[in-house]
Amino acid sequence: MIWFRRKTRSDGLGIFFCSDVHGSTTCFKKFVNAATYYRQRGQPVHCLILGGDLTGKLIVPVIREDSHYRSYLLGREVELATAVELQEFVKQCETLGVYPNVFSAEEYEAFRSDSSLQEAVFRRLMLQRLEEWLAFAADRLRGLDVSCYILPGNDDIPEVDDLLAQASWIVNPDRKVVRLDDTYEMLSLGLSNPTPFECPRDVPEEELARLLDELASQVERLQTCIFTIHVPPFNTGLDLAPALDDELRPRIGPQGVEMAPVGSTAVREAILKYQPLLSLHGHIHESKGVARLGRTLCVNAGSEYSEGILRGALITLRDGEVASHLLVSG
Amino acid sequence: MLHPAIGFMSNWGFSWSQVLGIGIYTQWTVNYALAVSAATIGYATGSDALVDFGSFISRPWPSFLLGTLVLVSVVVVLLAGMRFLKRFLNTFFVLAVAGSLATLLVFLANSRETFVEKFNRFMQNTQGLSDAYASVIATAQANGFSLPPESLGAAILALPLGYWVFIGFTYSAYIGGEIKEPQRTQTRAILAALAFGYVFYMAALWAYFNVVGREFNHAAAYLEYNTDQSPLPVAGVLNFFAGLLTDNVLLNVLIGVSFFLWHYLLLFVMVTIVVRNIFAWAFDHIMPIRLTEVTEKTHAPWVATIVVAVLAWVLLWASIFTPLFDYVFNYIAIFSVAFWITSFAAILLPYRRRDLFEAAPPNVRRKFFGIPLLSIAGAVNLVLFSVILYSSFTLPAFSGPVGPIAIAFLLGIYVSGLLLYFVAAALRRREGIDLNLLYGEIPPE
Repeated sequence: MIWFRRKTRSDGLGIFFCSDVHGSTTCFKKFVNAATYYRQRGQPVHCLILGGDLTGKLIVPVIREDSHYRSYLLGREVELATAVELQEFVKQCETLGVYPNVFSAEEYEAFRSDSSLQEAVFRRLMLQRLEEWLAFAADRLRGLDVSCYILPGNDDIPEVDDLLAQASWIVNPDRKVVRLDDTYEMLSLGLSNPTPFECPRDVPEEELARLLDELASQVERLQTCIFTIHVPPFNTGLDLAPALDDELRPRIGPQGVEMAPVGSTAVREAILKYQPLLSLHGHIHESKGVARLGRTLCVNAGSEYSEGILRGALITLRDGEVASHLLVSG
Repeated sequence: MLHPAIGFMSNWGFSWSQVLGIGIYTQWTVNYALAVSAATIGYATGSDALVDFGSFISRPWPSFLLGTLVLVSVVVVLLAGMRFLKRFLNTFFVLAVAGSLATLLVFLANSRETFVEKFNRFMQNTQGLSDAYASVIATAQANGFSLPPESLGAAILALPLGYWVFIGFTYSAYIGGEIKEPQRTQTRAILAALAFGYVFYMAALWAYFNVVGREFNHAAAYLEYNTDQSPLPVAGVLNFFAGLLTDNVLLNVLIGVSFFLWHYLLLFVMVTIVVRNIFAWAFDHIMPIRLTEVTEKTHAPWVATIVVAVLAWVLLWASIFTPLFDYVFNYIAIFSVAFWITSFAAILLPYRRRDLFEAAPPNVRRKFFGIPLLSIAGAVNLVLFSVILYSSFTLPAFSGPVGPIAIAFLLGIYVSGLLLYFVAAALRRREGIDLNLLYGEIPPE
């Protein structure tokens, strides 16, 4: 078990939780700055928790042509005539959570036709941005009386763990039970049940159930434990996503987009079985909300990363209870 | 853009216009839509029972009891979940449109002479009145009616009426988060709804006035609303006159059912809007958290739905048994203040939240002579709603009572929203929740 902080505070334990920033630098920086921002406004935040899916999903090729650059973003062709325009474009990409990469025409042709090269470039860009983020976090969190937990989600490649392990002022609590203070523990799991996208950390429900049982057995007091599990519990309203057809397109019925619960049954069963104080989730961006499973308050902070908007949850734990919770967006 | 308290006040006022609307629309669904439809079908089929039923349910207690049943049916369908609601609305929407098209066809297939002849025959047979068409006009004139002159000024002042006709075309924004590519679909849906409504209304009203006659229509309405000398057995509405023009029972039933459905289906939309607003307030801790509770199976917000239904039920009672609505219910004015306030948010957004504006889709970021189109649209909206508000307070026939009680009621609604926000904020602060943090943007740098 990892010990990060020990003292129980009289004003309770303030948590800021968010998830699924998916490569958006704007959202990640907002997450890191959240403790300072909320403290200045009288809301104590002692723990920052990012619940997985740190990396983005898309490379945006920028082709160098003579004296200008050409790219394609948000369904539109973009021409960038100056270095300033290129810089602004890169910044916009960082907000959107996509990875711009400058190619010459020849490099781009080679990139287009070679899937292993595409994968290598994508991997490099993901890790490069994450590295920059972690440096930013170390700089901002140094000397600040706040503990920061960042766990990978099902979209994140295994190398993310190595970078998180090397980072200063950050703890990766994935597949561990960590103690937040004398009263509260946190069990974390960044895996997900199988998705149609076959993500790097998708595992069968049985595997999720086994891991959750194993982790729960390490918890000293389940009544005051927080479960931070990337995937939300099944059929709680926190897991409604568009149903997809065989080609992974949203299924449109006569009543519009068909929605379906896609959460994990293993997570639901574990919450019902162990009844922790609180469970924090992400994964399903459009299902921001709170629900109760028995005594457990379950929260999905949702995600609007591509707009540069950070959705999060401000939670205060006091006397072994959830004293308050507020879903925020900013 | 605006202070959260102003945003809440605006939404609170809009929601109250809807709750009041649900109360009165429930009554209209029964003693206007259902009663007129039953009587019209009864006359067409020669069924005295249906005619009597139409007359019976127009009385206060039957109207209240049937209105209660209508509200219960709305709650039951809403609690069955969004999927069922969509299926329910889609199915009956098709039926309602079919009935309206049938009504249009009936008018297109008939002439003024046919209408006068059939109307006179009907009135002779049922009311014992000969040459009723001319008699309606003469009686109205004897009571002070004269055909008003047409002018551009009058048309502008009649904007609230035109607005009323098209009310609801923006309501799909409430399910914007549940549709595919809302930025494109919403725009298309709103414009398509407006275009469909406009074309249909223009065609139907042209055909209607062509057949029924403008002078007769106005005279019948004048007698109905200003005197007790209307000889018509039911309200002189479009579907009643359409019913007189056809002997086809099936067509008559379709027209009658359609007339009822347009009133009934609107209740689902209005209740859904208010429920979603209440849910959002509770979600943001302005209202008790309990209001966010949902059913386990269908995830329907059952507490908020019941609260809205109970409020509407009380208002249904008030609209039937008390003169409350005669003094306070200036629907369009109450409603329009919210849209008037929203205009300021649209004008200010590109300047006060440049980051959001720059991140918006290209069609939102368009500029006209360097001025954001969004700000221009906000300014146009502001002018439009200023005219609508002016008309609402000067033309009671269009939007309701305009006296000091109505104005005080309107102000009371909006001011209470403002106070409620600050009271809620103070109470939540004691619990350690600061409502100002809800949408506060964390600096990214």
